[in-house]
Amino acid sequence: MPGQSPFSKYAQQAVLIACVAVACALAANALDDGPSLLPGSYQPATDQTLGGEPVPVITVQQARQLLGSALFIDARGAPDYRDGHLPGAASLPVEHLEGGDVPVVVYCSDPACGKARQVAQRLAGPGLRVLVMEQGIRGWAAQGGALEVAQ
Amino acid sequence: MSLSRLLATGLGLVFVVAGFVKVQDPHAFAVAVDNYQLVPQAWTGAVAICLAWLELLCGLCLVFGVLVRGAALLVACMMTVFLAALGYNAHRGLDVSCGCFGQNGPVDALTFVRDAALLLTALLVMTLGSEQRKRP
Repeated sequence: MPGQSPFSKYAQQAVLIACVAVACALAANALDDGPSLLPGSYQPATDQTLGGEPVPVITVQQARQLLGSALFIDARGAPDYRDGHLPGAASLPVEHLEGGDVPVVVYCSDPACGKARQVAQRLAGPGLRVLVMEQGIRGWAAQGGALEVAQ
Repeated sequence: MSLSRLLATGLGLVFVVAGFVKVQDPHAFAVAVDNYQLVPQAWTGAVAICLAWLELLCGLCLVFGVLVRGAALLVACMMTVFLAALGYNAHRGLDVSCGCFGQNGPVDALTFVRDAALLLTALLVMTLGSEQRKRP
């Protein structure tokens, strides 16, 4: 077209490509076996549900009340964990889940103690490889392992 | 091969790969879009699949030399939006998985540098070899 600036020509090309892209997207969505991605039917399922039920969430106040009785787990990466984490929180970075089962070690005092096995049975689930350190804390200390005391 | 053609092909290949990964699994990408918490949840699926095809098509146009400047303009717009989204979320302290190449990975300074480089390349492809000396 005479007198048309190059920028408006580029814009027309862009609009054309965008229209084809939306058409492809709609077609792909329609042809796909799975649930539709369009608003009205789409729900972001993956991060929001726990076995099909919504993940229970709590506030900071509620969490504070659980300090000392709940097991706190920090899902961020190691550098963030090192910079600061909730008192007593364990580190379980989400990246570790991608490599397959995450080992979780449970222990109590010694081989005669059954507590570790009881906890291990409750924890077992998909993605977690629960292991019991049979010798317990006594065995750990006897072999020169370091211990951490609450502040 | 001219510099403009070289840059367009390189840029195009990046977007063909990125777009292809997302087109393969738009639901996974929709989760990434949702994590940014910038789009209303009901629309994250639609945004995800449209962005996926937009990236793929722009990449193909750039690689095959079809509607190149229009594709470069779209890429420049997309990169601007992505950089703004990353910057805004970094500012509000949101720890988002990137979702840039399909899988989830942390967002760091390198992500910003990479996206800025892609934006710059798109702008170059849009303007290099142009007959006009003055840009509108």
